Formats: sequence, structure tokens, C-alpha cells
Amino acid sequence: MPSLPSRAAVALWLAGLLIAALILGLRGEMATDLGRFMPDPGAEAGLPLDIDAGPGARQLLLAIEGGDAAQRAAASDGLADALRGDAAIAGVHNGRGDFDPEALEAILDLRYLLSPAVTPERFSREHLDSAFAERRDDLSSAVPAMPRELIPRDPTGELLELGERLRDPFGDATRGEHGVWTDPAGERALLVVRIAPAAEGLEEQTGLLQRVEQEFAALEDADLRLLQAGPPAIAVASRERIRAEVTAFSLAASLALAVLLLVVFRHPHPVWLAAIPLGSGILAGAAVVTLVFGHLHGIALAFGITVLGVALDYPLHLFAHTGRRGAARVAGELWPALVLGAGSTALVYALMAATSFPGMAQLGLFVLTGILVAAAVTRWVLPALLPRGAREKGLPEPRLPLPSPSYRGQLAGRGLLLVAVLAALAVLLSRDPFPWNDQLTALNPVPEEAIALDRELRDALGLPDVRHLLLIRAESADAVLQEARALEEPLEALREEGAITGFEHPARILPDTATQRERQAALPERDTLAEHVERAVRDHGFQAEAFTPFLDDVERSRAMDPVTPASLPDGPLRQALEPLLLAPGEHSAAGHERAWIGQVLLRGLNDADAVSGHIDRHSAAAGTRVELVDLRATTEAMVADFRTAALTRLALAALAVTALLWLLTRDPGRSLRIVTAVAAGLLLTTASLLLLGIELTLFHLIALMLVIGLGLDYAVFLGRPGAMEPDEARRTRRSVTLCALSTGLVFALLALSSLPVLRALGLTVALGVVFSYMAALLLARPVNPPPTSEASGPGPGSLRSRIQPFP
Amino acid sequence: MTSGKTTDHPRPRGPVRLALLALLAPLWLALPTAAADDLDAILAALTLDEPSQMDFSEVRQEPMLESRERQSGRIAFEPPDTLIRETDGRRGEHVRIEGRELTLTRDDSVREIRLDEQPGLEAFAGLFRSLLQGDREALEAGFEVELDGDLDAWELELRPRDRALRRAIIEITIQGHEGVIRRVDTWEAGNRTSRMEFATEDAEDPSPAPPAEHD
Repeated sequence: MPSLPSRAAVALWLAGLLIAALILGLRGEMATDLGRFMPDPGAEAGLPLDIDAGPGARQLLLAIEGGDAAQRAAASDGLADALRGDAAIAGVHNGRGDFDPEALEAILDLRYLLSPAVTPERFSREHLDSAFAERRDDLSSAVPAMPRELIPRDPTGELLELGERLRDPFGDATRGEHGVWTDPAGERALLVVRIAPAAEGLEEQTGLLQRVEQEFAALEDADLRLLQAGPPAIAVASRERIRAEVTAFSLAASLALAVLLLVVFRHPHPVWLAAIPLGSGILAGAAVVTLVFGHLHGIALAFGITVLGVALDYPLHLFAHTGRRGAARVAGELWPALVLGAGSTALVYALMAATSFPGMAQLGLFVLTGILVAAAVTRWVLPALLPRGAREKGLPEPRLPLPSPSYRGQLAGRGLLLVAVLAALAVLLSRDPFPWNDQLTALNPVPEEAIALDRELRDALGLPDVRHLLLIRAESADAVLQEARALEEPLEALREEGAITGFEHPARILPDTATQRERQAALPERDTLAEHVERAVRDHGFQAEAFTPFLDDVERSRAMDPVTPASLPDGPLRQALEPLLLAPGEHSAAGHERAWIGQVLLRGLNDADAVSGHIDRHSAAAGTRVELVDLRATTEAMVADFRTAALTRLALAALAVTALLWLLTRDPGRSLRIVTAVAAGLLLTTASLLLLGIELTLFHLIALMLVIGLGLDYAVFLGRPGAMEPDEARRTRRSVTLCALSTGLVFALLALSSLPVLRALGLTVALGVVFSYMAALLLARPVNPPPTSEASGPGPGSLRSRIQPFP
Repeated sequence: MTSGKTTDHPRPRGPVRLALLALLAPLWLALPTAAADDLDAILAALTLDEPSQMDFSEVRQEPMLESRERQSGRIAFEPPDTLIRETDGRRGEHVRIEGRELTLTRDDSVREIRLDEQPGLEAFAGLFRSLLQGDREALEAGFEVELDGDLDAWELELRPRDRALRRAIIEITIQGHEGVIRRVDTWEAGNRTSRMEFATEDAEDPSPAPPAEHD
């Protein structure tokens, strides 16, 4: 019968689990977008963008291949038609330049306010005369500059000026013989689907991608295949892939671990009980993070669980030490070591939690909470949960190969360790610059073929640079439009210099109010215009009434209210403007919540410095707020900043942990041994990674943080004062070996993953386990009575393994 | 007519009727094929393996203009797919279409244009190419084709399949004799019509072409 305190502990534990479950059930929100894990470079720069995407964030790129050109074109049109009604879609573009009659009417309606060609000179007698002469030629030509049916309304050709601008923003691919976009080889039909801001989430995007697949399947053309690219497709594909790999890995790891524990303990109880502290830690960590942050990020959870793997060691220590004794008593005996190990690990993560990197702060808090809860559960709950038989009779002694270095062997080993650590230091110091990889792509586990396809389609579609863009911030939409118009000149100069090949800005779609009023003022009065038209009619042989629609339109345009973003009709104009001009509510620019933001997209940028210098000079002269944003450099700088901060914190943590160890053990020698063992493990692991030619990313850093936790655990337990007695020493070595073996096994499996991220984690931790374990073993204080017969015989410097005989 | 004979008999019932229908079905299905054979024969006669040139005169009815417009010129074809349309006179121009590229020469100025920017011309180029290459598949992919007459005197009624194109070009009819195109009438949106007549080597009637009839 469990004692009263242990019953209270179990009740408390159950209540805690219930509360945590309630928190997660009621308030739990799982975030999966990278944007909430990383500090948002956009937020810093004033951008509302997804972290990894830039201007193309919400563009889904589609390619149709197979069949013949006509089939592909028909499928392109069919798919575009089917998708246009979808609420999650802001626009579908497949290269059909002809606007539908309604859209055309809307553009015609506003053409004199929107066309940059409208100046007083354009309506002078001379200019009108040459325009009419050109229209007359059009009527005779097989290659009219303007569709004949538009001539009566628009003899000056304003629609031609606008058509070019409205076509470009979404792509500039080759138009194949069937009038839809194709790749340069003409073997794929291409489409761009712009996703509505409301459908930004990964869930919505997954749904949208499925609908696209369904609509394509509904076309029932078995010859054709649909390819999807662009940030949404990549995000969804990589999530699917991670999910599949993680599921497979979890199953394999659980199975391997269960088999290992069954073999070692020859009893089922340790297998399932071992999961309890870890499970409780995960639940508590998730609940606390949700309470503090309002949501839990999927990446923080995944890495948190990985790093929390150290908590699996706690029950293993307990079971390995229990043997034929009472588990509760053993838990009490182990408690100081558990406090030391868990406490110092928690201290490291407490420092991590206090960063501005949201994902890392979540990770830190999650692990910190999880470790403490797992330690407490191991101490007070686990013994009470043991079935009565196991509680009274104890558990079987674990059967395990056990290294048992002799005293001399240990000394020789230390010598070797010293040499190795010095060599590792030399390796670390010799790398200059240190091979950090701060690119987000190194962090983002995207399948390579998806990136290649994305790049291919992006090139074929002539889409703007995804890395650089100019940002305009102003108090009102009209102010943004004015500044954008002022940029036209420097941008044109840059284009002529060859620094860029093209650009898009919001004022090209919708000019500011003042400009529109200027254009209205440039339009002649009806009588004056009628006079010019009459002459032209006479000179070129037109029908007398042929241009009445032109006179009507000009008169109406003179009296119109200028168009604003709010009054712009739905259709191609609005679609073209929307991605370029963002209202205060539509972006999350930190510190600029009330600003309107204009985006200037650049094409073919090949000299960022020239652009930046030119634009800076322009801004300084004009007193505007325009800047060139390099999204990749921004994110890389932020990752680097974070890394520096994390390393500083690790250094701080090292000091704090040393102090904590000293304080708790009151034994400077032991503290020093523990810290040295952990540091040695860390150094050797890092140096090995470098020698393998690996560039270190944030994921390696996370893995190294786990290595610290493991190292602390091994060193603390092997150095327990209680472990100085031969029997206890054997038990301790056995438990630490079991821990190292299980962790090493799990992460060695992870190192087999095809995903770079998981491989990085797996390899680093597996190496870390080996080195930390060896370092801890070698640096542990020798067992009190010098080597007994049982542990004799190993050669100098070797770690002999043998099967521990069954007691 | 085969179907006429069957109606003289008492109405067959049940399986008999089915069997008769089964027998007749191939005949009935064969009807369009018979016409199609004519089309194949016409296309075979039209097919050109070597460079060729046809003189034409065109009369256009354009509601925006005071009077009908008359033009004359040449259409040339160079296998495999080059088409040249040249007009004389004050607004004369030279249009060369090779593959997807279009070169327009007018008043000594030369412009290169992508063919797809001129959907109307693209349709005509496609039509002439498929006729002169004898490419029935391409012809029927671009147009709904109706054939009247026989190889000796034929008329093709063509309606564009492309939705956008149909808004501009309503119908094109082509009349010919064996492998010679005699006349092309075009009905465009907005009451625009055009009649192109091709001079043939054995032309007996050199008089100016009559204006196109239209409704």
C-alpha cells in the first residue's frame, strides 16, 4: 500500500495533468508557420510577409505537363475558370491577356485618370491628328496596333498604355500558340494563383492545394499532370514530409527503446513506466508555454520533445538503481543527484527562455518546465505507480554490458581525453570564419526537388525578385502613391544602368489623387475636342459620327471623382494593386501599425548596392521613407544575432551552472569534474561535426544544448558521493550506461533520416552521447576501494566491456 | 436512301428493330465520314510543297469609314510554315510570319511582333497554314468546319472555336476549286466584313471583286 505522502503526490500529479490537459484543450493553439517561430524579418523591416517568401509569399505556381499544347492550354483555361470562384483565391492568371468584357469596361471607364500618357500635349491638334492617322492605318492593316472595335472610344490608345501594366504584375512568361503562358520550351502550361490574405494559414493552404488537385482531376485528362510550386506548395509539402518522417521515426525509436528496455530489465513495467515522467513533462511544458505565449509552436514542440529526451534518463536511473530494494527509498537516495542534473539543465534553458527569439523562448520554457516536472514525477510519483509486486520485491537487476576501467586505465584514458580535447580546441580555433550557416533554407526542411521546380517556374514566369524589394511607408494611401510616383524616375535610371531589368510599384496601377487631377485638367473641353475630331474625320475619311463615344468618354472623365484604393472597382485593377499597397490593418509591421505600406517589386536585380545607393540618395533628397529590403540578408542577420545571443547565454549558463553545482554539492572538486566532463563532451562533439565538414545551423545548436543536458546527467550521476561504494558504483555505471545506450540508439536512428534537420539533430546528439559518456566516465572520481577483482584486467586506456553476470 | 426503304416496311419490333438499328448505325455514322473524305481530298489538293504565291484583291466594309476600302496584294507561302502578306498602295505593308514571329514592314520601318499579340491575324495565319500544309487536325482544332460542295467546287464555312476569338471573328467562308482558293469572306464583329478574291492563272474574269454580302 503506498504511503500517504506518495498517495498525495499521485493525486497532485493527476490534478496537474488534468489542469494541463484542460489548458491545452480550452486554450491550446498549435502554430505551424515558420513566421511565428522566427523573429519576423518583415516585422522589423515593416513588411507583412511570410518569413521565407518575400513578395511571392502568397503565390501558388502551377504547371501542367504531358499531352499536347492544345490539351495543356484547354486544361489551363479549365483550371483557371474552375478556381476563379474560390474564396481562398485572390486571382488566377494563366496568360490570357484579353480581359473579360466587364473588366475591360471598368478599365476603359477610368483610362483617362490612370493612363500616364494623358498630358495636355496629347490632346493638342497635332497629336490628335497623328493619332487619328494611326487609327486610320489600323483599319487598313493586317496588324493593327489597336483592336478595331476599340477605335471609336479610344483613338488615342490609352488602353494600350494600361494593358501592358496590368498584364505584367503577375507574370511575364512566353505566351504559347494557344494564348496561355508556357515555359520557354513550350512543354508546360503555367499558371499563377494568388492566395487571398484570409487564406494565409498552412491549414487553409493545404485545403486550397487539395481543391486545386481536385479541380484538375475533374478536367479528366489522363495525359496531363499538374505540378505545384511556390511558397504555399513548398510549405505544405515539407510539412507532409516532416510529418511522415517524424511518425516513422517515432515508431521506430519507441520500438527500439522498448526492445532495449525489455532486454535489459526482462520485465514489462520499466518499459511503460519510463514514459511517464517524459509524458508528464511534455504535457506540463505544452500547457505552460500555451499559458505564457497564447499558443504553442509546432517546431518548438517537436524540438522540445527531442531535447526533453534527457528526461527519459531519470526513470532509467531509478529502475537501474532499484534492484531488489524499495523504489521509493532509492528515489530518495537519488534525489540529490536528480536535483543537481535536472536543476543545472533547467538553468541552461531558463537562460534560453529569456530571449527575444519567440520560438527559442518557447523551446526554453517548454524544456525547463518539462525537465523539472519529469524530475519531480520520477521522485514522488513513479515509485507509487509501481505495481505492488515490483514495489515490494523490486525490479530485476538490469543486464547490460558494462565498461569497467581500472584505475590505471582511467588515468590513461584521462590523458587521451586531454589530448583529444586539446585537438578539438585546435580544430575549433582553426576555423576562421567559423562555419556557421545562417540561411533560413538550411533551417527549412524543404525537399530539394521542390526548390528546383519552384526556381524553374519562377524563372519561366518572369516573376519579380523574391529576395529584394523596396518599401515605402507613409501615413495615407495617397502619400504612398505619391512617393511611389516619385520613385519612377530613379527606378527608370536604374533600369537603364542595368542594375534591374524592371519594376512594379503601386502608382503604376493607381496614381495619387493629385496626379489624377492633373490628368483631368489635361483633357480638353468637349467643344474644343469636337473641333479637332471633326477635322480628323474629314482628313482621314472617317464617318462623321464615328468618334462620338470618344467625345462622351473624355467629357465624363473630366467630371469624375478621382479613384482611390477604396473606390477602385473589382477586377484586374484591384487585383494588380492589392499586393502592392497594404492598408494599416493588412500588415503586421512592428512600430508602423498605422502606416500604409507600398511595395516596389524589382525584376532581374543584379546590383543591389547600386539600387540601395540610388534609392538612399533619392530618399534623402526627397525626404521620403523608402528603403531597399534584402529579406535573405535580414533573416540571416537575425539568425546570426540570435546565435550570438544564444552563445553568450550559454557562456553565462556555464558560469551559472558551475556556481549552482558548487552551491549544491559544496564540493569544488566534484563541481569542476562535472563541468569539465560536460565541456569536454561538447568540444569533442562540435569538433567532430566540423571535421565531418558540416556547417553548423541553429539545429546543431539545439542538439548541442541537449548534449549539455545529457553530459550533466552522466557526470552528476557518476560523481554521486553515494556511488563511491563498489555495489552502488556498479549500479550507477549501469544506469548511466543504460541512459547513454538508449539516447544514443534513438538519435542514431534519427541520424538515418532523409531530412537534413533531423539528420543534424540525430548525428549531433549521437556523437554527443558517446563523447559525454566517455568524458563523464573518465573524469568520475575513482571508486573508493581500488579496483576489485570484479573490475580488473582492462588494458591501459581501454574501455573494456563485458556482460554483467546475473546476480 | 437507305433509311427511306426501312420506313416502307411494317414497324419492326423488339430484337428485330434493334438488329436493324445496329445494321443501320454504321451507315448513318458513315455519312459525315463521306463529307470528311471530300475535305481530305480538298486539303490534299491544297497542300503545297514548294514556295507559292497568290495575287489577291480585297474589299473591306468598315462602319467607321465613309467608303469601302479596296486593297490589292499578294499572299505567299514558303514551306514549312512561312506566310507573307503584302499589300500595295498608300497604306501598303509587308507582313512576314515565320513560326511565332511576325515582322511588319511599313514605310521603311520594320517591327518585330509576337504573333500572339495579334489574335485575329494569328487565327488567319493558323488557318492558311493548316490549309496549305493539308493539316486537317490543326484546321479542326481551330475551327468548326462545315463543307459544302465537292472537290470541283467547294465552300468551307469556318467558325473559330476559341471563345475570345469568336468575339472578334464570327465566320470565315472559303470558296475554291480543287486545289485553288478563289475567295475568302470574313464576317467580323461590329458589322465589319471583308472579301478577298484570288486571281487564278486561268482566271477568265479579271473584273474587280464585288463587295461582300453580309447581314
